[in-house]
Amino acid sequence: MTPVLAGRGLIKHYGGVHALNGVDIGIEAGEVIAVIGPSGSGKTSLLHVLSGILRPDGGDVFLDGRSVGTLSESARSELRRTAFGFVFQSGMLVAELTAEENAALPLLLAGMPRQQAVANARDWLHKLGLDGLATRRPGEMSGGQAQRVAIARALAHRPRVIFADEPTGALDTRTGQDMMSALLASAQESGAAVVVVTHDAAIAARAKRRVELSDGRIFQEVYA
Amino acid sequence: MSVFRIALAVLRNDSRSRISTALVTVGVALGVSLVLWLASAPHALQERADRTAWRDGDNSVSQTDNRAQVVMATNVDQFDGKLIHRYDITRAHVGGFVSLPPGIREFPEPGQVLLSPALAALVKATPPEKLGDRFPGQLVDEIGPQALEYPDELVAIIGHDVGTVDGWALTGLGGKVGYAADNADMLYLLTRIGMVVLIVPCLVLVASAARLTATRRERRLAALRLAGATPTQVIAMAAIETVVGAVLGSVIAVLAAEPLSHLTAQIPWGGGTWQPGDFTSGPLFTAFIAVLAPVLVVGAAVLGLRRVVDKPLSTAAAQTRRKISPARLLGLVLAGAVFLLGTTVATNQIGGRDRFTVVLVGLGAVGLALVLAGPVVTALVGRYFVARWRKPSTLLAGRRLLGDPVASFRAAAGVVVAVFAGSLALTMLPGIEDQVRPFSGPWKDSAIVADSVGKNTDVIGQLRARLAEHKLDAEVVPLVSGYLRSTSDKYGPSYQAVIASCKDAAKVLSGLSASDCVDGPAVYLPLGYQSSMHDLEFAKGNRSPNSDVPAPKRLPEGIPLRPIAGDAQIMVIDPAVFPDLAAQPTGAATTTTPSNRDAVYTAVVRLLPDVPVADNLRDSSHSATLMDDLRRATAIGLGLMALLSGASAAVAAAGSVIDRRRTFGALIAAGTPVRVLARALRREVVLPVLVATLGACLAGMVVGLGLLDVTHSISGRGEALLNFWILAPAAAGFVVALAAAAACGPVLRTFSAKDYSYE
Repeated sequence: MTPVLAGRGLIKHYGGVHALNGVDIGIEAGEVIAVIGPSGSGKTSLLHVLSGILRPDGGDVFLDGRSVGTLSESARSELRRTAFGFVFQSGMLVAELTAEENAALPLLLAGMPRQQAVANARDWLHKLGLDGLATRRPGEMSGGQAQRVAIARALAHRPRVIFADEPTGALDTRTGQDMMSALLASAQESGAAVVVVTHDAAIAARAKRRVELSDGRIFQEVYA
Repeated sequence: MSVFRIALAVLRNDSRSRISTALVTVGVALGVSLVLWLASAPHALQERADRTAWRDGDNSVSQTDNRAQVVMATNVDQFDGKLIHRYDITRAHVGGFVSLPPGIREFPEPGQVLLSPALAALVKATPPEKLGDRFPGQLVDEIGPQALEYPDELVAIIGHDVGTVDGWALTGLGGKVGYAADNADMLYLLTRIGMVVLIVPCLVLVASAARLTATRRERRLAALRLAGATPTQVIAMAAIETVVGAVLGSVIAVLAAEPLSHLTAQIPWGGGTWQPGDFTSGPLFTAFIAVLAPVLVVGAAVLGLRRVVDKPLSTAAAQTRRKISPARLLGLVLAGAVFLLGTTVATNQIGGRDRFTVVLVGLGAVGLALVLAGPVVTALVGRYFVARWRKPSTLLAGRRLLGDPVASFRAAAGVVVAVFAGSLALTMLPGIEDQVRPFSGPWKDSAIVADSVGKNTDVIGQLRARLAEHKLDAEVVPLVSGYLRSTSDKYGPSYQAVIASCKDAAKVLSGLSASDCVDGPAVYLPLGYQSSMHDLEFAKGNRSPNSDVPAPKRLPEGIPLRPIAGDAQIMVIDPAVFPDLAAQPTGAATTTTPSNRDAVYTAVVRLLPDVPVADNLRDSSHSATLMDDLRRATAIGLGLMALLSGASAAVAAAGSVIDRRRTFGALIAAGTPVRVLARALRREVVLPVLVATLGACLAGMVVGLGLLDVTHSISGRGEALLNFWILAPAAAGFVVALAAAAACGPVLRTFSAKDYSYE
C-alpha cells in the first residue's frame, strides 16, 4: 500500500547538532502513529520536516508520491493549510477569536464564505461535545475544551494528515486521554492519518504504531 | 541570587528586553530633553529682555528732572525686509554722567555712531545713500552681544548734540532688568502648549517601549511569584528592569541639554536666533525633571504589575478578556470642563502669566482624555467589524480590537494626540495670522510719512533740496496732522485728519483718488460720515513728548463736506480752509518708487532722525516675521509629534506582534499566509486610527477655537477662519499610522512556523 505521507533519508542539522540522521518513515491513510523518544531525540524535528514546516537538509518528504521538499515556501504553506491539520500543546488558539471562529479559520483562509465556514465549524464543535461553547474565547475555556476546539480546527477542512505536537502536554491524565479519544475518533471519521509526538507512554499506547527515535534515528518501531 | 542580579541577568541574556530597555532610554531621553528645552523658554525670553532693557523707556522722567541722564528717540527702520532698531541719543546735560549697560562700552558723542556687528557689515556692503547715510557720524565701536536681542540684530545708536533730540528723557541706560513683553506672552503660551502636546507622545513612546516585552515579562514575574517570590521582590525586579533604561535616558538628556541648547538657539524667533546659553534651565529644575522622569516611568511599570502581584496564576496561565468601561468617556467631559474654565480665566486676564495654568492643564487633560477614550472607540470599531467581517483578516483585526482595545489602541495613541495637536494648530494659525497682520495704515505702501516733524523746522524745503541733490524722483507733500471732532458732542469720537492739498494727498493717502478732488475749499470724508459731522473743529495732533498742543480751530461756515469714493481712513482738509495752519506744515509725506525707496527713506531719516516714520513695508515685514516664527514653531512641533507618534505607533505595533509570537507561529505552521496576518495587523493599527483621528481632529478644532480666544485676549484681535485643511492632520495621521503599521510586516517575517513551540 502506498503511504499517503513518506519521509525518505531525512536529515536535519542545527549547526553541529544532528536532529535527524537519515530517517525513513511512511504513514498510510487513516493510520495513527505515535512518535516517542527522549528529549532531543528529534521527535519535533521529524514532525516539522514531515509537515513541511522545515525543509530537510537531506532526503525528501512525499505526499501522495509528490515531493514536498522541492515546493516553494508559499506552496508548502498552502499544503499545510489544505492537506494537513495541526494540534499543538495548549491548543495555540487565537486568543481573541471565539471557539467557532477558531475552528472556522482554516476554512475561511481557504476562501469558504463566512456562513458556510461557521456552520461547518459548529458541526465539528457539536461532534466534539462542545455545544454551548461556540462563542467562548480560549481564555474562557478549560485546557481540555481548548484542545477539543484545536481538534475541530485541525479537522474542519478535512485534511489528509493531522500532526499533533504534545497535544496532551498541558492536560491532566484523564483529560488527556479524553482528548486523545476525541482526536482519534474524529480522525477516523474523516479518514485522516494522525502523527502524534508525545512523551506520554499512555497516549502513545493509543496509536497503532509507535516509532521510537534516538539521536535522530529510528531506534525501533512497535505495532500494537 | 539577589533580585538585582536576576533582573540584570534578564537584561544581559534576553535580546528583546535589551531592545525594550534601549527604546525606553530613547523615549525618556527625548521626553526629558523636550521638557528641559521647552521649559527653558521663559529663561530665554528673560535673557533677551534683560539684554534689551537699556532701550525700554520705563525709567523716563521729565527732561528738566535732575535725574535725567540721556534723551533718546526710538525708531524702527527697515531695509531689504529687515528691521533696524534705531536710537538717536544725547546726554541730557552737557558733560553729564550716563550709566551704560553691558555690551555698550562707550557713549556715542555728537557725530559718533555705534552699530551692531550685523548692521556694520550691512552698511559696509551697501551704497551709503541707501543705508549708511541714515547713521551719520564716525563708527566708534560695535555694540556687544550683551546689548543685542539676538546675534544678528540690526541696531544703531546715533549720538547728537545736547538739546537736539526730540525723545524721552531717561535716568540712564544701565542697571535695568528687562520685562519679557511684546510677543513674549505668545511664545510663552506656545512653548507651554508644545510641552503639553509633545510630552504625551513621549509618554506613549515610553509606554510602548516598556510594553514591548510586557507579556513575556509578566509571565516571567508571575512564574517567579508562583515560585515563592514576594510581591516586593517581584516589584523590585520590574523596577530594576525599567529603571536602567529610564535613568540612562534621563542622564543622556541632561548631558545633551547643553549641546542641544546651542542647536535650539539657532531656531529664529522675533527676527533672529538666540545667544548660546539662552535656552538653559536652572540646575534645580534640571535635577527635578531628571529624577521625576525615571520615577514616573518606574511607577507606571510597577502599577502595571498589579495583575501579576494579585493573580499570578491567571497571568502565568493565559490572558483574560479585558473589558472596557464607557465611563472612560467621562474623562472627555471633565477635561472639557477644565479647559472651558481655563479659557475663562485666561481670557479674563486674571493673574498675569499664571492665568494660562488652568487652560494648559485643561489642554493636557483633553489630550489624556482622548487617550483614555480611545480604547472605547477602538472597541466600538472592533464590534462593528466583528459583526460585518467577510475575510479572515477583518475577523482577526476586529476580534483583536474588541478583545483587547487597550492594547490595540496603544499603537494609535500617539498618532491621535498628534492629530489633535495638528488640527489645533491649523485652527489657531489662520486666526493668529489675523492677529499679527498689521492694520493696513492710512498711507499708500509707496509713501514714507513723518506726520510729525518734532522740533525740526523748514523740513519741506530741506527735504526737497536733499532729494534734488541726490537726483531722487520723489515728491514731498506737506501736511498738518490732527483730528476733526464735533463741538456739539463733546463725548463724540475724533477722526484723524490732515490739512493737505487733495490732489497731493491722493499721491500718498490710501483710498483717496485725484478724481475725488474738486477746486476750492472742502473737507473730504469717507463715505457715510457726512451725516454725523456737524459743528466741526480741527485740533492739531502732535505725537512728540513735551510739546504744546495748540487750541482747536472751528471749521468755517459753508465749507462743503465731500465724500471719498475709496476706503480712505483719514479725512483731508483743503489748505484753503485753514490757510494759516497750512502755512506751517507739521509733517511730510514723500512718494517713492521701488528703485528709489531706500534712498528716499535714507534722505527722510537723515533729515528727521528722531521722529517716527510711517512705513507699511516695515510693518508688514514685522508681521511677516511673526508669522514665519509661528509657522516655524508649528512645523517643528508637528514634525516632532509626527516623528514621536510614528515611532511609538511602530514600536507598539511591533510589540503587539511580538506579544503574540507563539500564536502567529502556530497560525503560520498551520499554513496561514503571512500576508493575511500582515493585513490583519495593519487593520488592527489603522482602523482605530481612522475613527479616533476624526474625533481627535474635532477635539483639536474645538480646543483650538478656545485657545484662539485666549490669544485674542493677548493681541486683541483674530477671528477663527476654518477651512477643509483642518482635516489634513487626520489624513496625515492616517498615513503615519499606515507607515507605522507597515512595521508589523518585517517583525512578522522574522517569525517562523517553529515559533509556536518557543518561549
